[in-house]
Amino acid sequence: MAEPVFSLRTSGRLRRRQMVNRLMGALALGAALLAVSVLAIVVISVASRGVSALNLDFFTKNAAQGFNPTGGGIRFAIVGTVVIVGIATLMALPLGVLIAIYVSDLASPRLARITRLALDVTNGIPTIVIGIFVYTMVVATHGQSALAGSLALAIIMVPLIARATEEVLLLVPNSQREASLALGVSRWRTTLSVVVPSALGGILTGTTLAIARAAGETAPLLFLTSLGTSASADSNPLHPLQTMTLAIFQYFELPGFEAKAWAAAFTLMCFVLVTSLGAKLAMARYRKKLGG
Amino acid sequence: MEVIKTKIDLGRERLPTGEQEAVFEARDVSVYYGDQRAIDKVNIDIYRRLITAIIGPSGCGKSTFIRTLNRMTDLVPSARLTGELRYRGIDLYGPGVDAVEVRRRIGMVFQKPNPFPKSIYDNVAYGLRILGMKKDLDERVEKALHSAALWDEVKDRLKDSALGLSGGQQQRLCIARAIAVEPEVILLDEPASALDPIATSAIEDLMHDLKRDYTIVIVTHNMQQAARVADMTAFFGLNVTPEGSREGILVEYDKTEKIFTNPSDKRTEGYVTGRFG
Repeated sequence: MAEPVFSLRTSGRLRRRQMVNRLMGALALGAALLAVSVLAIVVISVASRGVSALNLDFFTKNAAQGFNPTGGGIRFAIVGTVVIVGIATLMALPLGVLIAIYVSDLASPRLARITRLALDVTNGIPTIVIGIFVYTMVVATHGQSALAGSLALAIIMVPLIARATEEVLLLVPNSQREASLALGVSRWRTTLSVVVPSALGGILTGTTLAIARAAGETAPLLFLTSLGTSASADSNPLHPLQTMTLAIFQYFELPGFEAKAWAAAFTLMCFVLVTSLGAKLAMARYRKKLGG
Repeated sequence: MEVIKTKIDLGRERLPTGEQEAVFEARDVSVYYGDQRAIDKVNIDIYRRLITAIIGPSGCGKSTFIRTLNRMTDLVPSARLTGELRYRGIDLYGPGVDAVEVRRRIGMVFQKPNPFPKSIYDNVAYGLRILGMKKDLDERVEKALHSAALWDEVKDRLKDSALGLSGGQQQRLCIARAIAVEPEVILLDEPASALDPIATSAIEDLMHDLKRDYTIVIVTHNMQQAARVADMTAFFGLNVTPEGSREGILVEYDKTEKIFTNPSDKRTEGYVTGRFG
C-alpha cells in the first residue's frame, strides 16, 4: 500500500482553532454554572437565615404591635396577599383569556400583531409606574385599599395570562375548529366549546405563573395598600391590607426583626418557586399531550 | 386559453336512479386566493341522492371546490368566489346567506379523522346539544352511530375517549357526528386517504348505505374508489396559464361508468388510464 501524501492529524492553525473552540465552550459552561449557582446561593442564604424564625406562631399570629414588640407573625400578610392576588386574578383571568381568544381566533393578522405588541409593551412597563398610575387614579381620591393593589397587580397579570393563553390556543389544531364549524356551529361557540376546553390546562398553568409573579411584586403596591398607614387586621378588600412583600420590607427596617424578614422572604420564595416550577412542568407535559 | 364548459344534458334514462333534481348548480364558479386563481369557471350540476366523485391530480382545486359547497372557504380570509353557486335554488354566496346555516345543512368530513378529545358519546352529541336537538339525545346518538356502521363496535364503551379508537373507527365517528345533526348533504374530502384498505372498504360500504338518505360529494385521489362508489364523476384537471400559474378546471363530468370506460376528453382518458397525473 502506498504511503499517504497527506496527514489527517491536527497541526498548526487547526490546533489553534481547536484551542479557541475548547476555551469558548468552557466559558459558556462557566456562565451557565454561574447562573445556577447564583440561584443556589440566594436560596441557601435565605433559607439558612429564615428557617430559624419559622414556627407555627409565625404563620398563625398577627404582626407584633406596640412600642417594643416581640414575637408576632405574618398571618395578615398571608391573608392580605391571598385577598389582593385573588381579586387581581379574578379581574385579570377573564380579561386575559378573552384577549387571547381575540388574538388567536378572531382578529385579522394585522390587528392580532398590534394587540400582541401592546401586550408585550404593557408587560415591559416598570411596575412602579403602574403603581403610580393606580395611585393617581384610585388612591388619591379613594385612599389606600387592597382593591387598589389588586388593580395594579391585575394590570401586570393581564398580558402574562393573555400571552400564555394565546400560545396554547394556537396549539389547538385547526382541524378541531373545522370539525365544529362544519356542523353548523358558530365561531364563538366553537371557540368556547372546543378550543378553550382543549387549552384549559395551558390557561391554568399560565395563570399560575402570573399569580406567582404577582405574589412577589412589591413596587406597584408600595403606596397603594398599607405602607404609611397601619394595615387593617382583617380581610376586607376595601381596607388597606398587609402583603408578604411589604411585610418583608417593614420587618427588615425594624431593628431586631431581620430574622422575621428572612423567614417571610423564605416563605414567599418557597411559594413562588414551587408554583412556577409546578406550572412549568405541567405546561411541558400539556404541550407534549397536545402536540402528540 | 380554452375553457372547457361541460354542460351535460343528462336524460332521465341516463341517470342511475332516474332522479335528476340538481342540489348544487355551479355556474362559472371561480375561486381566488388573493390574486391567485385556484379554480376557473366550473360549471356542474350535482344531483340529489347520488354519490358524486371529484377526481383529478394534486393541486387541481378538488378540495377548494368541495369547500366552496358549504362555505368552508370563508375560513381563508383571502379566498373569494365569482360566478354563481346555487344550493336548491338559493345562491349560496348571495346577500344575507349565513355560512353557519349553510354548514348546518351541508355537513363535511375531512381528510384526517378529527374527533374531539371527548368521549365517543359526546363527540356525536356535540352538535346535537349546541344546535338544540337535545330531545331523545340517546336515541339520536345511537341512530347516528348505527348509520355510520360503528354502533356494534362502540356500544359498550360510549364513555371512553374517542382518541382511543382506530383511525378507521375515528373516521366513521366523524361521519356519525356529521349525520347526527341531520344534514341534507354530506361532503367528504378524501375521507379514506389516511386509512388502511380494510377501513377504506368499510367507509365505502357505508357510503352506499348513506346514499339512500343523503346527497354525497366525495373528493378522492383514488380512482378505483371513485369507480367503486360514485354514480357521477367529475374530472378536474390542471391548466397552466400563459403567465405560468396553475389553476384547476373541470375537464369532464359524466356518469362514472362513462368517465372510466369511454371518456370524451383525451385528458380524462390519460388520467384514468394512468398515463399521467
